[in-house]
Amino acid sequence: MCLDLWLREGGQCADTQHVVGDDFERVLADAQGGNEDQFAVLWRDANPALLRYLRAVAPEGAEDIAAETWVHVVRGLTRFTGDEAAWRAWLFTTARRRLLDQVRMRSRHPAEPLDEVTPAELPRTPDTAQIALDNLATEAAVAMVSQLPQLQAEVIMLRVVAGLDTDVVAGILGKSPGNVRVMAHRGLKRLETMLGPAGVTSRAGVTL
Amino acid sequence: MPDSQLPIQGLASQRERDLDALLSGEAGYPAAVHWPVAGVLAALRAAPAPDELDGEAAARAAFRFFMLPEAGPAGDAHPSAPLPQVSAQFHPGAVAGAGRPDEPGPTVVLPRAAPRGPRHARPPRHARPRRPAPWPGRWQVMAAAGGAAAAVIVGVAALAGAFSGPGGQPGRSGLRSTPQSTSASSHRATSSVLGTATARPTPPPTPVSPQALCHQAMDYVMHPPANRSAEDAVMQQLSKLAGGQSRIVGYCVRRLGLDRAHGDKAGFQGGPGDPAAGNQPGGGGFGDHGASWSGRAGSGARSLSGGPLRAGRTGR
Repeated sequence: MCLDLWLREGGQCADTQHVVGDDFERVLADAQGGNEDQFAVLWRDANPALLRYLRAVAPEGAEDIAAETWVHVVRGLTRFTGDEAAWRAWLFTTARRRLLDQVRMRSRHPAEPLDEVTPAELPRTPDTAQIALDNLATEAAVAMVSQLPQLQAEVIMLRVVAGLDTDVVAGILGKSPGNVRVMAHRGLKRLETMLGPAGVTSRAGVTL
Repeated sequence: MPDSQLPIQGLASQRERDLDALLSGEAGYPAAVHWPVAGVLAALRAAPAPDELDGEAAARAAFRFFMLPEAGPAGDAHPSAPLPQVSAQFHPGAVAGAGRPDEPGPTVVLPRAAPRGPRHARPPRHARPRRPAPWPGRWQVMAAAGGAAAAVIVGVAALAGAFSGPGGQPGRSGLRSTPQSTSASSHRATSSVLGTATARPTPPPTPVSPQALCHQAMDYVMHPPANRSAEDAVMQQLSKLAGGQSRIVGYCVRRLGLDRAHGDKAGFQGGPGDPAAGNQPGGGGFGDHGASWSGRAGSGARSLSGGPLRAGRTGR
């Protein structure tokens, strides 16, 4: 597991950040020229981070928003210029726009669920935290972050998953870099509170 | 900066550094490993799960749909037109307006559908060419033509009034014609022709010359005034000038040149009018004379010569 490798070696493993690396310029140029395989490289690099970000901020429609985001990205791909950091910033900016569009649409046309679900059946925060404690899986971690306030969750996901620096995140959210740092710090503190004062011990016996 | 703030700032910088290292997963940094939530953040950036890559086929299909016709050979049939090759440099500062309609990011414009069949969509109204005017300056030319026609009509009416009046008497117009308007003159001219004029002349000022006295006497003959004393005064003066009341008519005919008017076409000359009446305001003017006289002629039934005079305008 990547987490165990990361904890043992104290470094990064194959994660959601910057997979393409130095070849990004060539890959992008080929994709813009119509090379489907090179576009797939870009997609495999960014889609997991995109899905995790969207699942943290909009769990109910993450896949739909991600698909819509990629359609927009493909249609504007030939007009994009920039490095990999700019590429990721553009991708997540587009995703956030689609997210806001969907939020507006749902506010205008609220959907009625077909099945009646009682509040007792809904997942509660302790349950979500317990899932994270038990599995420490990525989904559980995303579920924990989704319990944070919206902006704090977005800051953490954009900083951690998308690998964007503070200034870029500030630009995406329309906040100042200092505000982004404050929100990140508060989000981490809240995650600590959710994990408990004694920390969390994973199945592998690692205390987080 | 006070020295007392340096340790605090240094502590804050250290915490900020730890925070950045934790969020970015910086390798080998202690805080990135030993922070209580480091494991959660590591799980967030874990390797992709298989379900997160399930949509690759759909993404490839979307890529082929939108991109391959553009990269392929020319002439490939595709429902969408190629996207414009506009350089849209992405920069982090441009994402501040995310979600707004005026967002500066690379917004994709839907391709315009190609016209199908013989029916073509009508272009928008502002794109249609304007219908050209039949010819430029249309209203200005029409207005000028109308004005010229009106002037001709007025002139003809004035001439008609002058010719149809009971007698052209030079220098007479200066007495009463000035206040009259052109339209009124034309109306009186028409009335003169038709013989239905009913307007009465206003009493003239006291005549000072034989011609003026004769004009005044003719007016009194044609339009008997209510004040008989004025008429009597004029007639007495003319009687003295003519040498008797019975000679007034002959005297005025000679003084006004009416005895030569019928056979002398050159007598109708226009111009300044009677030199004797030249001291009258507006005396002798061609247009004024005709218009004034025609207005006063009325039906012409009581002209001194027994009929409408046609050339009696020549002054002497």
